[in-house]
Amino acid sequence: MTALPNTLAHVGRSMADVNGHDKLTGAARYASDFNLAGMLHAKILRSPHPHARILSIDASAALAMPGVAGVVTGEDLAGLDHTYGMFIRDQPVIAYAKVRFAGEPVAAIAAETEELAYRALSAIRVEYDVLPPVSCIAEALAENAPPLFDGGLHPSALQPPPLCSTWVQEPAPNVLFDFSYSFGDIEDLFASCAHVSEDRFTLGRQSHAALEPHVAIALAPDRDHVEVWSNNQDPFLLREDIARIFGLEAGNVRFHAGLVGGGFGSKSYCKIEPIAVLLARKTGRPVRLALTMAESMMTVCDHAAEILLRTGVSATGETVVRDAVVELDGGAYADASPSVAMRMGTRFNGPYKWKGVRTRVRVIRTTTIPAGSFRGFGMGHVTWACESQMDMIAGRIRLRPDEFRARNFLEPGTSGAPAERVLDCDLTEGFNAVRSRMAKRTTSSDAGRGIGFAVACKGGGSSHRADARVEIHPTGDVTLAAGVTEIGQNTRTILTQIAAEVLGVDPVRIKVVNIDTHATPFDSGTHASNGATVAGLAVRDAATKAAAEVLLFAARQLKCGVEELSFRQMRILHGASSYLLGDLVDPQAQDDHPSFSGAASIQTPGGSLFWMPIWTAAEVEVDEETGIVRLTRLINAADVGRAINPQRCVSQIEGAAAQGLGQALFEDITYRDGQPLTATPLTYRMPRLADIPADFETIILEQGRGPGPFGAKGVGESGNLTIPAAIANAIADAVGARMTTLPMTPDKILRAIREAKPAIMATAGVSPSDR
Amino acid sequence: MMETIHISIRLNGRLQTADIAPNLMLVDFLREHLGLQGTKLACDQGACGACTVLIDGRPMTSCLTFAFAADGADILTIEGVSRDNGTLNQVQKALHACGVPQCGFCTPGMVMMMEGFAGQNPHLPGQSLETWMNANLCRCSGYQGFRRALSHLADEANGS
Repeated sequence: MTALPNTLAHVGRSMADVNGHDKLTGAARYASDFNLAGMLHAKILRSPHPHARILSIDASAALAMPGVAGVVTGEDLAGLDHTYGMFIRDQPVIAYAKVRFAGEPVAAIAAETEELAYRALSAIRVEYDVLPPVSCIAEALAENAPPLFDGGLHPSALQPPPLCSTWVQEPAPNVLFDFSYSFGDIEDLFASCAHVSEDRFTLGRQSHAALEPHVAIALAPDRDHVEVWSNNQDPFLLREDIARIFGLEAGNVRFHAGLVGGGFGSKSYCKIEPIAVLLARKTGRPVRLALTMAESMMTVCDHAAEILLRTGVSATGETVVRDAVVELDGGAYADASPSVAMRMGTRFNGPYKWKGVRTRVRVIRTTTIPAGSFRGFGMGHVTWACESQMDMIAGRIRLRPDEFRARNFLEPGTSGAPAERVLDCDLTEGFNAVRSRMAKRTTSSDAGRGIGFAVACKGGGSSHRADARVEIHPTGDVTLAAGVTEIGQNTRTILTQIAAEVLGVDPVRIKVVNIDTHATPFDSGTHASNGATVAGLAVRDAATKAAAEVLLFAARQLKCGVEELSFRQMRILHGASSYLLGDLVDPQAQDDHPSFSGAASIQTPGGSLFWMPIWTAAEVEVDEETGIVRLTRLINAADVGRAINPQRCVSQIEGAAAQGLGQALFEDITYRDGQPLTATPLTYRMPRLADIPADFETIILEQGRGPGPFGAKGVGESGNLTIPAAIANAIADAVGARMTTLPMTPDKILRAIREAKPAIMATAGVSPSDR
Repeated sequence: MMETIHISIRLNGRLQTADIAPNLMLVDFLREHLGLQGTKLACDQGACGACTVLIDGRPMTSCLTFAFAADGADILTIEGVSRDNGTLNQVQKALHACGVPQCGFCTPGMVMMMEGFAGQNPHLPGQSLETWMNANLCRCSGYQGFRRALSHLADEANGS
């Protein structure tokens, strides 16, 4: 770690997780551990067909079964504002008249036990008029493709497009969203280029597969009130959604959130919560809807995609102009797809200098699992294509890939595109850090062994509001309330360290409370790596105000000026005297337990608040006979501005890198005949310990330009972005085969090797077309 | 009404008897009947190891184990690992110091796998804990924290 000098007591220290003890002893409680007296258990009947009209649903036999308390179907949506979606609201709470993917909820049952609910599902009779599936982008855009929707625009909450861009909502059948972005005279610039490369890249469908499946426990004590305990990472957004769908006052909807067992984007925005609420209102009982992990995998995934990338460079190897045409497989419903399209559509410039960039990102509807937000919000897609192509271009113009990158990096303090935030990091320093370490030990002369680089720079913290409240009690305890959800990023630890630093108190005296939307300060959602930076600023300011309240009180008690006092370790210092805060409280006073409270609210502007750069060097071994790739060495560097907690920064980068490794080599929900083949934990291959290289280094840089407390910036979404391209570049270095499709499974690698080395194969008696 | 089966187990050192349905899974018996919610139900298919408990010292996925199959067995769950005074044992301390718990949902299963290995290893020479831990999924960490903890424990065992 390249560290800033640290004179701070708590910030910059690798403090262990504040909930770590409970997580290690099994005492930690998650939403899936939550019970209410008299609670019913819900299960969902899912469509076996990818595309069908619902002709009738007969649930009478199920309702008559012992222990069944209620059934809901599309008919129960009457009178509700029954669709949801982050920007375009096209997804019904439960299938209404039609199903659009295999696995879509068609009916839900609440019963006395989960087992009875399961059994009753099989008693529901659904008649379908089966329609042809639309399983991929090509099928969806084909002439006479069956449309998923009958036409007309869905209600939307789209914001005006960012600078240089336009969008069209639902412009054509099976096209959800069409986003365009451009600056510079694109065709003139291409005409000026000495070399123009055009390459096509594709990505599979990655699943978040967080270990804790989605769960929601809903209580509807009367027609006007709803209370929900869920593991959604956006409790305040959910409150608005539930209020809108059911026609309630937002103030009468109360969400609770505690520890969440992982998300990676799968638990953002509205998901299963309305079904639980629907059942609770129908039965008048508390209802727990707990999905299995397989069901969670059918609830949301990342976008499969096709990217056509045209890039022009000068005779001397300067990046000049780029044109990207992207088709995202959005699945059956919008979820967060328009937002992903916008984010990725404005970021094809990556970490380099350009005179012009043009992108068009279309979100295509298919009869597959709805695609939504995934760690990095489309930047993984961008980086896969762009960083693979950087190596391809370097090869074509006979430059070393690292040299080609190094000569085109944006400089600190400059802006990569109109109105874009200036670069708050040093790309060259980070790149040199990974390049020199990889060079130190590895030479790529060994047969079948190669190294590859990739660099990405994701923005974070945009258009976010985070509030916080800090209360100091005379007992020496501190209560910290903030609306950011603890989802495994250890945000409670980070916020505790910030408050401890400001207040000068022992972190063990600080308690972070669970989120209750009736009591916890507002937060617009746990997204975009904004916790440490934006909520961190709110906590810093709230703690500062709370400490000022203490001093005002102490000055009154001691009858002195507030400027004569200071507050450290729960003691009021006055010249040579020192008083415990508790000792200044008069036990005879009416208010014998005052608390000293500070509140703060931070609203960030649109556009990136900070940049999260990531630099990666990968070394692989490729078995040319089997196509099996082994990642033998991985070095990542990330700039975090200032590490509030170095160990947590490392954990974020390492964990993200493992997800990137999975995406690179095997993770993919594949489809055949409209049915998902790998959407279960047993069939969906995820990285295990043996997949992770033993030689795996993470370098945390503190380049000191973060906008957050103590110079911090976010780090959560960068570590996965570069891994697939770095591995592909290393494979090309190793065996000369260029991979352009994710995941890079052995069959694809073998095919690419055969295409790259027809002469060798011919001597071995194998023709390139022979599979 | 389904017939019930009478079982008698030693659970975290205490005798526990129950009359249970024959289709009750061990994880549901622990979590729903006995309130021992430290054992986590994640994949429900034996793929992730979050529900790992020790049955007669051997790590088993409780989501794939019928409760009746544990009749007569000695079962250790995460609640039994440090229940004497709530302090962390050596394995848990190493995990804590190495920054392991992120979301924490895989953590109890990982601890049980490590406990099981420690108990079984004298009988299974040459086995590696890293190999055993391939049975368990963690989606947050990239497993490096676990590796650091293993190396920390090895250093402690070697007295360095």
